[in-house]
Amino acid sequence: MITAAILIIYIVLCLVIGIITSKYVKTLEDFVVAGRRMGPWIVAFAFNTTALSGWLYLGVGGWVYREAFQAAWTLWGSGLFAIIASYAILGTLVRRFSKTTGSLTIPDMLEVRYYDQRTHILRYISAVIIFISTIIYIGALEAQLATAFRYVLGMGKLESTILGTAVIVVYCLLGGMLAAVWTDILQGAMMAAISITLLPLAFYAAGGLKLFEGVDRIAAQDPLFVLSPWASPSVVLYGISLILFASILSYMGQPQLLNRFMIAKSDPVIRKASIISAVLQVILWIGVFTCGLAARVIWPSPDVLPERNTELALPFLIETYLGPAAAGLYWGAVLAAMMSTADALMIMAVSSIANDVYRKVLRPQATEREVLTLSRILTVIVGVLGIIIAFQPLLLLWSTWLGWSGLAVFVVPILMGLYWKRGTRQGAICSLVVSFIVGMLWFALGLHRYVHIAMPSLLSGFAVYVLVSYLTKEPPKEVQELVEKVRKGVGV
Amino acid sequence: MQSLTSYAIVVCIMLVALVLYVVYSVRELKREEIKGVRK
Repeated sequence: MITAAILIIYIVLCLVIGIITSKYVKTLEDFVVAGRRMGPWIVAFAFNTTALSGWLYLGVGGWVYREAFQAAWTLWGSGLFAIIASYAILGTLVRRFSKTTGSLTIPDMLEVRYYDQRTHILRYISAVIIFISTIIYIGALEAQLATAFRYVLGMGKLESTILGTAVIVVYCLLGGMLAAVWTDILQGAMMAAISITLLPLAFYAAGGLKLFEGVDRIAAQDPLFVLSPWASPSVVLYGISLILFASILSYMGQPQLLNRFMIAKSDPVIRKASIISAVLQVILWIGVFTCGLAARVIWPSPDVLPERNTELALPFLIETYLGPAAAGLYWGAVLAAMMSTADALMIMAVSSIANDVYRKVLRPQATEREVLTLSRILTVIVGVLGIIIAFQPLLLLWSTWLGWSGLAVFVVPILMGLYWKRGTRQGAICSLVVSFIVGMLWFALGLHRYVHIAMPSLLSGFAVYVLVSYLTKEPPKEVQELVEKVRKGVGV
Repeated sequence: MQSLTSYAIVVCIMLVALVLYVVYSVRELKREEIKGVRK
């Protein structure tokens, strides 16, 4: 009862903030890049809370419970190195490029960099990839929210999924980016506060260093419960696909995260934000990782867990050891993580159609009001279509990863486009199409159990990009000069 | 206690990398600030 009350208060609080901040959303620039005037704390919190959803608290927690140190590869990658790499390699360049060219979104940037203003092919392909991947991702978030409602309010699958969808759609309809970045501060603080308590809780619940005796004991009986990150060649191969491709390169490809760099006021803001982001990310991850191990030691069999669901191991641990009020706060943090990701994704998917295709190509004379109305209609469509994914019998870990990997394909044209002036329009188009199709096929064939989707998807994307670029005519001189200018920061 | 060793390595790699990155970034920020003042 207390858990449910705290959860409901939190949802209402988020909706109130959404309503208040929506009054300040006057233009599309407010809606999409928050007026490009944000400082380091807001940029950092917006980045981290957008990157992490309930996937961390439910999906990763359950994964550590099942496979222990195999998850360490993602802990290193997503928990730190991906953050550093994203800020250091792309942060400043994306901000400079977007400001210099007046781009509001990643498709805008691609169109300018790949001199595609006449045919708009990249814009259409980007919009399709973003739209499909976001529906999958939002569907995964709706499934996460439905899990929360099932666990806390005791609802059935249908009602909980419909309620989860309704909450996400209403919340996203209200504000846009300006609302999103302000609620991100509240949501990030909530996530950090809860995560800090997870580390001591793990050791307290498992009896101090006895935690590791327990881990050794379980590993002796369960071959899937990996005792070391380099336990076998297959663990290491999977680990490389996780750290390099699913984490580092995938972070750099997420348009919703790259968009966070565009809201920064200046270059030094990006560097300051990177420090805050890195520290925050480590805090968020280490607690979850250690708690996953502790939950397995305390309950070696998932039969004891609610619904026998390993992804509920962490909330169950908190409720058991810290009581219902703490469990309510934990679910609040899970919700915070989900909402902050959902709003950013929704804004991106909707603006990829409403701004990038409708206003820029199909109807340039459209008024701000018309574009905002279309944005709101599309928000409802994405939310409703997400239900299809929410009903799939997939682990939250994987449904989220599928949407994430779909969006990661943008790393190839963005990274190469900002660093290699020889990269061509045809190279970018082919790489986006090939890496998206390869990723989806890899998952459909069930090969993701051996190597993460992102590895074949991005490797094929890079190969195709370089090959096609060399085979086609080099970009116009002014584009090559723009790439040089942005990289050197001359006159930017 | 093989898992204790694994855990220590996993966490140490993260913390050492984090500290190195923070120190490097703060130094870079100071250097850029000084360069900005001179300009």
